[in-house]
Formats: sequence, C-alpha cells, structure tokens
Amino acid sequence: MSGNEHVDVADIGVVDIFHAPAGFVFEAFDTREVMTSDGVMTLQYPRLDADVIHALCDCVRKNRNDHLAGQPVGSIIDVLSRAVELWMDPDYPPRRIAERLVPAITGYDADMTRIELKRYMRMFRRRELLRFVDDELSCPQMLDEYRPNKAGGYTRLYGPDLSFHVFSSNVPGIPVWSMTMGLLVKSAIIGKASFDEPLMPVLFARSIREIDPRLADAIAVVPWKGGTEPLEDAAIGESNAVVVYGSSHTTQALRPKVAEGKPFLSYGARIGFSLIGRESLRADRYESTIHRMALDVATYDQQSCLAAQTVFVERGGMVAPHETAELLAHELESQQRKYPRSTPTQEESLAIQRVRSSVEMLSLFAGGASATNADAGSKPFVIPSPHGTDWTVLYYADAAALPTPASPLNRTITVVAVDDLADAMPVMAPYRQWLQSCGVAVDGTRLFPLAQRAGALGIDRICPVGEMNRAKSGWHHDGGFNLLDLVRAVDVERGTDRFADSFDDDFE
Amino acid sequence: MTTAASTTMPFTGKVAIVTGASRGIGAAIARRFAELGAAVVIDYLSDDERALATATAIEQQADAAGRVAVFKADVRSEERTRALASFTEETFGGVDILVNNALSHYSFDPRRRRTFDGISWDDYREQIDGCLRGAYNTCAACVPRMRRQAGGAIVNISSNLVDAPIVPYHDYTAAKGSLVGFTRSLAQELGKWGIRANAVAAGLTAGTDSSRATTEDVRERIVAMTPLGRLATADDIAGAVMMLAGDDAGFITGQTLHADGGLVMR
Amino acid sequence: MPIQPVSAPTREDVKQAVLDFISRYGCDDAPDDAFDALARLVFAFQFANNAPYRAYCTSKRVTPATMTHWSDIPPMPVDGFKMLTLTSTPEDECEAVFTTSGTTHPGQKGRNFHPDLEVWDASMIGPFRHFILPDRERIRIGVISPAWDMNEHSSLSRYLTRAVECCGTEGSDCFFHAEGLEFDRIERFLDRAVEDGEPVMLMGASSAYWYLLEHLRGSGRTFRLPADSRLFDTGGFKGTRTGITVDDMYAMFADVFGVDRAHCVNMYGMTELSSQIYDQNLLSYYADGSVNTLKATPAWVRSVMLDPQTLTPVEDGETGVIAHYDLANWNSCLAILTEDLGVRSADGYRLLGRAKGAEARGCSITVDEVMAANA
Repeated sequence: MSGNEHVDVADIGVVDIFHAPAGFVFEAFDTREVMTSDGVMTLQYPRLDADVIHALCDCVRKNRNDHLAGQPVGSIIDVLSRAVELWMDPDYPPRRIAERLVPAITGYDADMTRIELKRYMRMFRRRELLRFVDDELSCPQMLDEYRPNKAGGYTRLYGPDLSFHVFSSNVPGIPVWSMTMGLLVKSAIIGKASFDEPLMPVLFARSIREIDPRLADAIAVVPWKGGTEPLEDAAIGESNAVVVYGSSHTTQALRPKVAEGKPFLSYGARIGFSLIGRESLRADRYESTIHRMALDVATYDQQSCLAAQTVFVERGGMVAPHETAELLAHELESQQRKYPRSTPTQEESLAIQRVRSSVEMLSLFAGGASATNADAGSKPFVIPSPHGTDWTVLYYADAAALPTPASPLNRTITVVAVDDLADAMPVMAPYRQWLQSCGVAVDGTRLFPLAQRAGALGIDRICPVGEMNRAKSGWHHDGGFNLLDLVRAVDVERGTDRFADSFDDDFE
Repeated sequence: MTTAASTTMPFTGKVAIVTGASRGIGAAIARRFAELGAAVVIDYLSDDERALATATAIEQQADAAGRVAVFKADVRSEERTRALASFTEETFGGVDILVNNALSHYSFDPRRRRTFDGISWDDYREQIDGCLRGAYNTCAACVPRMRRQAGGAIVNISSNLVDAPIVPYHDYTAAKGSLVGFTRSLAQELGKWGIRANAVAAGLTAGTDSSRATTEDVRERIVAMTPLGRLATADDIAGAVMMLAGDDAGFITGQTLHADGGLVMR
Repeated sequence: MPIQPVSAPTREDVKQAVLDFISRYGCDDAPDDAFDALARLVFAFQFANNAPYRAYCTSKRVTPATMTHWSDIPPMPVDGFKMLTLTSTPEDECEAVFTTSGTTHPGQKGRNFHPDLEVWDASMIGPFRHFILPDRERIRIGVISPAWDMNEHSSLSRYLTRAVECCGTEGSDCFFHAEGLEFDRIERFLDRAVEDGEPVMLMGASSAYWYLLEHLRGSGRTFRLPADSRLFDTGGFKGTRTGITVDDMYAMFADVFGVDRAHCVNMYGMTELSSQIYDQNLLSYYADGSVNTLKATPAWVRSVMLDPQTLTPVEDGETGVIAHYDLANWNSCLAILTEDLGVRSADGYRLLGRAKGAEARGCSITVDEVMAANA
C-alpha cells in the first residue's frame, strides 16, 4: 500500500459533481443517487440559474486574467502534466473514485472502463502534451509573447479569455481533451457536464488544483440538463469561444446562438468504418484480425465517435467475408462475456430489433440465406446474440446492397463483402460529413495508396484495425487544428520594428 | 403450455442428429437426448422397420411426442448427408449437436479376426469410409449451419482400441484413430466459431452388433483388466456423450473421453 | 409416431375453424387451451404453405414440431409485409389484397392477402357492434374517409362501408369522394342531427378529422350534437408535423362537436391484421357510466407486450413492444410484431406509440438523419 490512504468509496457517501473557483458560493444544491457495487452514492450539484452562470463566468474570467493569462505555456504544460502524472498511480483517490463511480453512472463495464480510462489519461503525459503543442504551433511561445514569424514580422497568439465547453457523456474522459486545449491557450473554462457522465472533468480539475490552485480557479464545471436555454444562453453570451461535443441535434441547437466571429468547434456524431484486406485474412493472421475487429466494436459499446460501424471485408483471403462475419459474431460473444455491454434504453433496443428484422426480411426475400451452398456468402444474413440485443452482426454480400453504413450502435456491426477495398469508397462518399476514423488492415504496399483514396473521402484519421478507439495525441481532430482553431493571431507587420526603432533616442 | 419439466431439461430447445441410431449405441444416445429434452433426428442406413420401431419406442419412453424424427441416409454419400441436414433444419429449425456414431459394419471377433497380412487396403478403406468419411460428410453439411448460429457441439464415437489395441483389429482401429485426429484438428479451428468437437472412446460395449461375436473368455479378460469390473453398456456411452454435448462441457473441446470403466487411462 | 412428412390442415378446415371460433367466443375471453389449439392449427397451415414465414420461423427455431405454446410462434415484423409475399394461398387465388399507404418508402407497400373476405367480415362486425354500438342496433353514420368504392385495397375503406351497411340508419352517407372532403354536406349532416335530435356517429381516419376541424374552425362553426352521438377515429397522427396530441384532439372534438371524451372511441387496426382493437370507453360508459379508455381485443386476438431487448413477454405495468396474435389472419401470418410500445394493466392496455428518445448518448446518429441527408 502506498502512502496514500486507501479510499473506500463507501466512506465518502456524498460526491460533489461540480468544480468551482475556491470561495465561490452556491446558494443551493440538489442531489441524485446512484447505485454502485459499494451501495448507494449521493451525487451533489448546485442549483443553477442564469445569474449563477454569469457570476461563475465573471469569477473564472477574473481568475484567468490574474494568473493563467500571464503563465508561459511551458508552465501550463508543467502543471497539466503533473496533474496527469497523479493519475498514473492506481491508488490515487480520484482515480479510484472514477473507477468505481463512472461505470455505475454510465453502465459501462467496470473493467473496460478502468482499462480505457487508464490508457486515455496516459495520452496527456508531458511528452504527449509537448507533441500536441509542437505539432500544431511552429513556435509554441507565440502563446506567450510576440515571436518572429516567417513573413519577417512577429506574431502572438491570443486564446479566448473564456470558453464554454459542452461535454458529452458517451466516452468517459473526453472532456479532459477540450479542457487541456482550453488551458493551453490560456482560456478560462466554463464547462457544462452531462449527468450521464459528470465526473471526469470535475476530477481532472481537482487534480489541477492539487498542483496549482490558482490555475484551477480559472475552471468551473457544473452539470445541467441539455437544452436548458437560460443557462446555455448565459454561458454562450459570456464566452469568446464555444466547444461542443454531442449529437448534431445539440450542435444545431447551439450554433445559431454563437455570434459571428467567435470560434465554434463542434465534435459530433461520426460513422467510423474499417477496411479489411485479404492479406489480413491469411491462415496465420485471421484470428488476430477478427479479434481486433471485435475490439473496435465492443469498446465503450461502440458509443465513441471513433468506433467502427461498418466493416468492408475483401474476398480472396483464406477466410471468406461471410466466414469473417461468423467469426466476428463469436468474438463479440467473447467480448460480451469479458466486458458485458451496458443496458440500452428501450428505444435503442427497438432500433437494433428494427435493423435486425430489416436484414432478416432481405434474407428471406432473397430466398433464405443458405449457410451451406457454394454461394453461402451471396445473400444477406443476421447473426443475433444468443441473449437479447447484446451484439449483432449484419452481413451484405456487396457494397451496393448496403442501405446505410450508420449503425444503431450498442455493438451492432455491419460486414460488407467487397471484391476489392476500392469498392468501399463510392459507398462511403455520400456520408462525408460524418466520416472521421478509418481502421485498416492491409499490407505495407497498399497502405499509402489506400490512404490517398480514403483521405479524399473526408476522413481525417487512418489507424490500425483494433485501435480505432485509441486516438493518438496530436491527431487533427476532425481534420482541423485543435489549438489554432481557438486562437486569434496578431501580427506585428514586417518593418514595424524598424520604424519603432527610429524613435529611440539612441538611434542613428 | 410449456411444462416445468420441458423448460428445465438440459437439452430443451436443442436439436441433435445421431448417425447410425436405429440400434445399439446410436439408439441409446438418441433416447438419452430425447429424455433430456432435445429434438432428435435418428439417421439410419437401411432397415426402415427397425428405425421406425426404435424411434417410436423412444418417443414413448422419453415422453417425447413430436420431438423424434427418422431419416434414411447413408452418411458415406455426400448428397444424402446434405439431405439429412436439410431435413433436420426444416423439421426442427436447425442443428446444435451432431453425433457421428455410424460405421461400416464391424464384428469384434477375436477368433476369426484377420491378421495384418490377411487384410487388404480395401478393408481399411471400407472402415475409413464408414467412419471418417461419414463424419466428414456430416460435418461438411452441419458445420456451416453451426457457424452461422455461433455455436454447436460435435461428438465423434471412437474406441479405446486406439490407445490400447488389446486385440489388434487393424482396419477398424486405424479408421477410429483417424477420427480422433480429425476431431482434434476440427476443434482447433472451429473453436473460434464457438463449435466444440470431442470424441468418446468407447470400450467394448455389450449388446451391440459389433460385440456379439466376442467370446466369453475374451470378455472376462477385458473385465479383469477393468477397474470398474464390467463391460460398457450402450447407456454408459450415451452418458459420456450427453456430458460432452451439453453446456457442462462448454469449455471442453478437442478431448477424447474414455468411457471404458478405467481400462485405459488418458 | 415419430415425425414423417405430415399433411398440413386444408385451407377449408382452417377457415371454418376460425369462423367457428369467432362465432362461439365473440368478444368474451376464450379459454387458453381453445386459443392455443386454434393457433396451432393456423400455424401448421401457414408453416406448410407460406414459404417466407416458414423460413422466418425456422430461423427462430420454431416449427410446429417444436412449439409448446402459442406465444412461441414468432411474430412477423410489420416490415415483412412490404418486402415479402406472405400468403398461404397463391396470390392469383386471392380475392382481395389490402395494402398500406406506403408514405415512407413509395413503391413499397405492405400487402395482406385474403383468399376471400368472409373471415375478415366476420371478425369486423361482432366487435364493432360490441364496442361501438353497445346501446343500440343502428345509428346514423357520417363517413369522412374514403369508402370501399373509392379504394378496394384499403382495409379501412372496407371497414367503413361494412359499418354503414350493417349498422347505419337512413341518412348515413360518405362524404369523401374524388375531390376530397365535402365540407358542405358534412355540415348539413351535422346540422340535421342537431335539428332532429337523433344521435349520429362520425367515422374516419384521425388525419381526416384534422382537416375537418381546421375547416370548421376556419368557418367558426361549432355544433352541439345530440346525446349518445359519438366520434370514431383510427390511425393517429403520423409524425409530429401537426404537433397535436390525442388529448388535444379530444378537447377539440368537445369544443367543435359537443361530444365528450366518453363518446370518442379510437380503433387500432392495421393492414397487416385481419381484426381490429378498440378503446373500451363506449362499452364501459353504457355498462356502468365509467370511462375505460384502455384497449381490448376480441377472443381471437391477443396482444402481447414484449421486452424490446429479448422479445419475451413483460409483466403487466411494464412497457413493451406490441405483438398481436390475430387468429383471423389465417392466410398470411397469425402473429405480427409492430413498432409500437404499449403497457398493459388489469383492464386493458394503452398504446404509447413510438416514443422519442431521451437525451441521446453523445455520438449516435439516427438512421433517419442519415437517410434524410441522402434523400
């Protein structure tokens, strides 16, 4: 046992699911209860109205002006990485709280959550933050002062004094990303958390407080029900940048409220897909390829925007596409045993039933999917999980037959057989606005030509099959430049410095 | 209405094909499946009357009205075996369990057995056809269906003579040996589809056609070497098959279970 | 005897058995074993003759040999009626085929085939009299949706025509023809009722009422229909374009027609079924003055609420997706799976319609969104 006290969640009883600057007083609180493996926990959060939001914004903005605004980016990186380093210790109390409570609140399997959270937090370690910053900014110190630019003048980058972040709940930990971005550009943060996962942004803010309390005072995270207009309008009005994670419904509701000229970054729903080359279905490789395919589907129950919703499998491997679908089904059953899926809502279950029966109807229409003939892979079929809607594999014999690559999620995957991976491109092209991640399993000679074609489709990330849910830091999220999108560049034009010199007393 | 019994039996809702099941070990296996709730298809080679009589008796004894069917198919024929699988699917909705019990007729006759010189390749081939080829055909027909449903169990009936040929019946034993290798290799690959393949190595089984010619002195010799002091009955073999076919063996595959009273210990 | 090829029941036997059941049990509860026995008979017939349904049931591992209870019979999803030809009798031997209006996928209509309409008519008239006219033999009826003469592929049209034929008094009429709703004639019909004090019934699709109400409100007309007048609607409002709820509509009925909630009855029917399901409020009102708006089925229909995850029955009081077992659907599929949610209690069940999702988890895109973007 390390020096830290063993924290038993059961001892805690009440957990605050909000973070505010030190000294900020809320008038009233409400609570919610959640059942965990240690019994009932009470979550406490402040009662909010537009005035409270305005007050919070004023407070964090002032704290930011007094401290964060003047911090060199190197120091900020230092503080953040030390806060993240705390999470590398399995006994770190906030980490233990997260490991107990996040599964209980979200319904995701506890082991899966523990492993994914651990991996995710490692992406914010010092070396990753440096990579993140250096990757985008040729000269990170431009965030601190005017530095020489390539045009012969000088540039300084100014972040928003206050940014409003709308956090989603589908993948625990994602808020850490946008909070990090905001802090690196020296923005105060007012964050709206979802009740479906309110914890990680709050715990991260607390970790920052342990390292640099004044920096933590530039952060406020409070939960409220999405669509509560007075609160949203107040936060948007106060902020100079808005970052939204959520469905297109959320984005469409908020975008019109953000004034022209203010950065509005939205990270919404996406359709991930993967391309499985026949070479990855060699007799000695197919088992591992299928296992990787299953990971892309099962992690966080496919709720992440990075997850695979459709898989294109090439004919000509040792294992045919329809057999791949069958193997994937069994592998998903193994995943179900290992990391049982969270319980979906009735509507989500109905959506899965609907998609299952539409493929069943297609299969019946085609005369019944025969599993045994030489044309076993020529007709669509469904393999449902033995219990409920735990997982579903749908199969189409050609890309033209695919009605949509979008899945109702909750581990519902479509396998499409193609003669060549190039056949997948035209099918995905109409979905440009939703494309982001593409997992590939092809050999070295095919990788870059394939990347060229897939890149043209509108994706912004190519990664190995099996790693779709683990984006590497520095990735150009949604094809944009994360930090650059938030900042305003100010140039001191070439020649201005010389002109200024001419007024020096000493100038000759 | 569903009865309490039918919903709690181990094989309720499961469908089993047993080859060579009009009599002997096959019939005992079929009856046991029926008693434990399965729907059973009895495959047989030629004797219509006997097959029907066996099936009728099983239906009555096991209270399995509507859950027992008969189908005539020589498993050495690919086409007939496919028809067997289709019939099973149309009648009962699918195939969950396949028991390869059929063999080309063989008589364990220690006095009149032929030595190695006295046998030709044709004799080996006949045994291999009946035993291995039959299992190959049924698996080829049933495994694709089992793959689509992500699960299934195959049990192949072998013999303890493979590990301990106390009487060297060359052709028979070679065929059974090949069946064991076949079983293991299938288990290795099909595991990823959730399909298990195991074998039961039966000891000499009293009351079967094959054992009829085994004389009393040889039987006694075998009994003397058997820790549990008797010969196998068809029901003993059926019991071992039930275990391997069921959920209790859900994590067991590629095994050869010796049901011979402990005569061979592997 | 062990299973050998069996001869399935004949078309005539099945049809007669269903007719006998309808006439014997009517709107009472049939004993479970009688319902089960008839279900088995119909299922055996359909399994033998309706190839796509047989393949569907086989894929669910249910065959006449393996089923133990009528609720084992897999309900065919409503979608199946669009894509598949579900009939135990060859198409060309079927006297009638009812189709859905097919608005979401033009060109793909759901089809229910009827060799003849004898069972359909028998299953319609008993419950209609029982639930809609518990207090009298006949009533003056005004129909505001297309009747049989306008569309022989609409089950609703036949329903409306049969209602008038069997139960309408003089003065009954249909007010929907080629040019649409005849508002003037409707107003005269309603005026006459107010004048002569004879109770009347309006019958039509919910959407037809919407148009009528809009017109009447536009012209500022309201009516105080005589006591015992009643309004019959069916279909509900597809989509949320109108934004009005069932309660809103009934409130408007009270305003515009002077008909109270107790006298407004909804009929739940589908092209894919051969029977109809009713709200019980007229029945209960005339029995003891109570207003029981929950739904009830005749003896040959059982509606089951299923857990959307497992498609197994839920307890009373729990929400489930509705499957109807309609033995009058003897030719196509005796069991159908809707996309509607419902909840049952002791006195009947309530339809919840397709519920909209709560704040959805972050990253999902509805299929509808994607289809809309690519339309």
